[in-house]
Amino acid sequence: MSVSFSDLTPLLGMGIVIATAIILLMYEVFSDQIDRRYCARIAAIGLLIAMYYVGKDIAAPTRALFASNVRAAPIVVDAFARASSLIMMAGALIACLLSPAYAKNQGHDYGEYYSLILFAVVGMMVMVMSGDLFTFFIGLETMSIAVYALTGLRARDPRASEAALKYFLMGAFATGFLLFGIALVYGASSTGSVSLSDLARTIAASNDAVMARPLLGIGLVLILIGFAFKIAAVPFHMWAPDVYEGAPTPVTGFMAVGVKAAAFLGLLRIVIVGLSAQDGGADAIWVDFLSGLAVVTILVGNAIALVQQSIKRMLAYSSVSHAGYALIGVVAAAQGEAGAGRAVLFYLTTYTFMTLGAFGVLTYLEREDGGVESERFGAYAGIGYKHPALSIAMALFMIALAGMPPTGGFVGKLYVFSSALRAGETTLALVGIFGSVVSVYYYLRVIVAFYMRDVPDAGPTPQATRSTELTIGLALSTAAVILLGIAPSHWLAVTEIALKSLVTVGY
Amino acid sequence: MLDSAQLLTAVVFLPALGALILALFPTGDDRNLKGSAIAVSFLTFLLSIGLWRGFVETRVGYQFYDSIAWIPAFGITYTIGIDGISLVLVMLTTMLVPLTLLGAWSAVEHRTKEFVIAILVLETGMLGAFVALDLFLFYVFWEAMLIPMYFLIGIWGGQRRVYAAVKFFIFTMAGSLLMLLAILFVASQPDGGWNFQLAHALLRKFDPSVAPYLFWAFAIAFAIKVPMFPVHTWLPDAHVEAPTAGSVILAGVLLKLGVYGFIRFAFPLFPDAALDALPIIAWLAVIGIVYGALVAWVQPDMKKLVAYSSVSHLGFCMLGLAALTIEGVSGAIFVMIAHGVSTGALFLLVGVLYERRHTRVLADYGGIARRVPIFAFFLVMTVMASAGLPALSGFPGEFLVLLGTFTAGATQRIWAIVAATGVILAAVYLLWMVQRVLFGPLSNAANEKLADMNLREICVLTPLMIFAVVLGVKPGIVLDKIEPAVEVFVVNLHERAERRPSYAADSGRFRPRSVPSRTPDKPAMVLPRRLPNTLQLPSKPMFRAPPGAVPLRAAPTVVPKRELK
Repeated sequence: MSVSFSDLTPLLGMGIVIATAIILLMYEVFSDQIDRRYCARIAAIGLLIAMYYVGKDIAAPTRALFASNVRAAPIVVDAFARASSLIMMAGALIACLLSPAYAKNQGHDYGEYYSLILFAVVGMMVMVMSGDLFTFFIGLETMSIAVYALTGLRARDPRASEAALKYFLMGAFATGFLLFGIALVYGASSTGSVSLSDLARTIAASNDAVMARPLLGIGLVLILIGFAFKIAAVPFHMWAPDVYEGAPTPVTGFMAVGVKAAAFLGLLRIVIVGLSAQDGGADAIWVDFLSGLAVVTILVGNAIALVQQSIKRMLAYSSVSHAGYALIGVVAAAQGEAGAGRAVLFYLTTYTFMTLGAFGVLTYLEREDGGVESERFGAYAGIGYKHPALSIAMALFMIALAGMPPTGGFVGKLYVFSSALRAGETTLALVGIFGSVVSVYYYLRVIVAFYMRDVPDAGPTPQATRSTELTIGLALSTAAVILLGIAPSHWLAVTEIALKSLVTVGY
Repeated sequence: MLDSAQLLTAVVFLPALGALILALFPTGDDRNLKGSAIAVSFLTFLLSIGLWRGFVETRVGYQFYDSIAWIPAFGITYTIGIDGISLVLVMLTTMLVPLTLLGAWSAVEHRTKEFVIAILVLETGMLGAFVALDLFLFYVFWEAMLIPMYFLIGIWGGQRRVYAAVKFFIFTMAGSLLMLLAILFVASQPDGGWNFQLAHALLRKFDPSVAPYLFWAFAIAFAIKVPMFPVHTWLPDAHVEAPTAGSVILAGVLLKLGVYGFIRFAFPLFPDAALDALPIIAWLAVIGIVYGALVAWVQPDMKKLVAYSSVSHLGFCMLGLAALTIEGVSGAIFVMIAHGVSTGALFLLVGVLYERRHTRVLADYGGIARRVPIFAFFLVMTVMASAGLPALSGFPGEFLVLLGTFTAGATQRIWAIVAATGVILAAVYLLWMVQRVLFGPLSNAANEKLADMNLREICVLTPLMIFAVVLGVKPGIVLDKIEPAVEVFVVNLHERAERRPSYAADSGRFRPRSVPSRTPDKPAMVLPRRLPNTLQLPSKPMFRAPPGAVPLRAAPTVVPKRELK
């Protein structure tokens, strides 16, 4: 079928992001080689405009692209896709705002940096809009390649090179799993298709006897393993701490939230549309797989975070354990619990802001000469009084990550655990609670370091890198974390509309 | 002019608002910061007097009630209101905070701004937890309180402050997260919706197979806060390391939230499970009373001594609850107030010494009475009040608890007897402390030049002494306020107990022997409150609320659950 330009209007938001990315590349080419001050602002303005177009009418009807009906469409622009894109663009926006001072400090303030972030966002948006597994794969690769490059930006730092190589190899590995899984599912499908609705039909046809069609079961588990790599779920998390440590700090923040959110939301669509459509979903092999993954991720992630000596590595492991909490929600969604998908969406929103905020504070305090030494807990002694506003924000992010009221982190956890209870997954909720209790300890360590130790231990101490953009980025994260905690109603309503669009339309 | 519901909201949020304004003050201006913080908390106290005066004693149910939607998608509301029990605890809080701030005037010299902000935010958290009638709202305040307290201990504390602060935080958080799960269970409606209102939750019936788990999830959270016997270990650490102001608020108010939680949430929500758990709770309380007292006895550190005495005193509160008689529960609440006054004063006095000599070790003092006569007077008064000398605040509460427990049944009698040793032990360790600090020869030359209390310190402690005397001489001012609420609490649980199949078998557990036989058409009119003849109170007018002979107000037609909007 022929595609006319008007068919593409639902993708306007994505188009704006792409255009901005290209403008940035051009700017890099034609601008005076020295002045890159405006790159971050251009990226931010582009993202803001895109967010406006995506967000102004979230509840608009579902649009299927490149196909006559939603079932067969490779790209589905529905409320879920819009809400998810908003989260990812917000993450990218803050990451862009955090970057300029840091990039200048570390000698990588290229315009390409911002266009890479924007291209990654485009990939993420494709992931959450995909109506079939191939489109999803294309989105995933678009995102991944951009992020591989971002990871290795500080090429002169051996840690960064290691991180980039590790991330690339592991990413390729994960891609292999994913692709092979997709191939098996394609083979198992009765109609020879990879669209999510056909997947649902195939599963429905095989009833409970998934094991009678081993291709399907194995294929699905392989696909999930591919996901597990991307969201850094234990035992597929090995790359995460090194990569998070080696990548430029704002990029780490962006990876921890954007990549993870995109993988989760893509997974959510696959689970809700493809896997949980039938009652048989409840005891299927992938539900067990996901529950096991959630439990191990929470326990291991928290346990290792507990003993970290570097704040950045601690945050890396904490983001591993947060993947576990979100997985609880995905499991509940796979059981057909209506609220669970919303919970995951909401949780990822709050997670985006609190994690980016925390990395933003670290960015603010990062030394020019960098290095592991300046990231020790002990190096941050007394920061609370040198930079009061910054430290209050950090304390807030830690409290939010620990899941305490009155922050968005609390509402998010509450929502996820409650949906687990509703789905009858009491054990998972208890594991989540246990993990949260453990996590309190290492989040408090940050506050202890900031406020309760007077003299830093020997070694390099953090120094502040001020910039307007950074301040704005931190202010945005802070405001979002508080607002999502005190007045979450509006965003809760959005998540409801988003998930409804997945369940009701067309499939 | 504020209407009644707004008045309560104003009392709760005025300190937080004050903290917000203080945040804008310049950092170095200590005098203004402290002065303004005291002014804010005093204004809160004045407002809360409006609550006290506007409270109608004879009404059952919640007053100053207000309910507005907060997060409708989740059925979460901002619902607040107070009954007599909340009222007296709110008054205790608003009264203690300004005194605490005044007491800390010279003790806190660094980071004053953060200090006063933490205290004011803490006050809002505590007040909010006392007035919240929505489970979510309660949880938010309950947790929000944790953060400023954590900072108070961690920043202005002693040597091992970080250890103590983190231990305090993690103990409390572990309990509260379990409670959060239980809250979610309670709030999740069968039709798929949510409703976090307490009044709504009280109407629900929980599956007997689930209810005990839910009860214990709540109970553990509250037991940690109280703190009850095996989970009390955070308290001595927290108290010893906390600054004086932190200790006063911790002992004076925060611990009471645990007991309050049992009264307001754990028991009424899951009456059957609670009734099953009563013996366990009572025994833990009794062990806490005796154990706390014994450990207090051997403490070389004054603050630790007072901390363990709190474990012992709070044991009385829990025992009174577990007795489930009007006397017992009234006594428990009275002990909470009295303990807030006397232990608050004790911590302040220890702080006075510590500020001068920077040691809290008993052995460093001795014979200082002659050097500091005013201090000696206050310390002796406070110790007497704490030890339960008649006519001072410690006496009526503990007496009522023991009385209520003793008369509740045969098993309960054993509890009362064991617990009574706690009263004796309290006299032992407290008086011994007084003796070692104040009397005897002046053994330590460093104490020669010890300065007596100054005017500010006298101003802090005098109101507390007045309260101690007033509460001791006229306990009715508290007991009258709480009586209707206590009656409702006890009657509801007894009604439930009587409906249980096992009731006939072990009726002695919940009913004193002397309950008259009941007529089936008036089920709720009989209360197990008659005292045995041998134990008639000597001077009845002193104890207006629980005296045995006074006939019940025709109360039990009012079951407040149904009265709520």
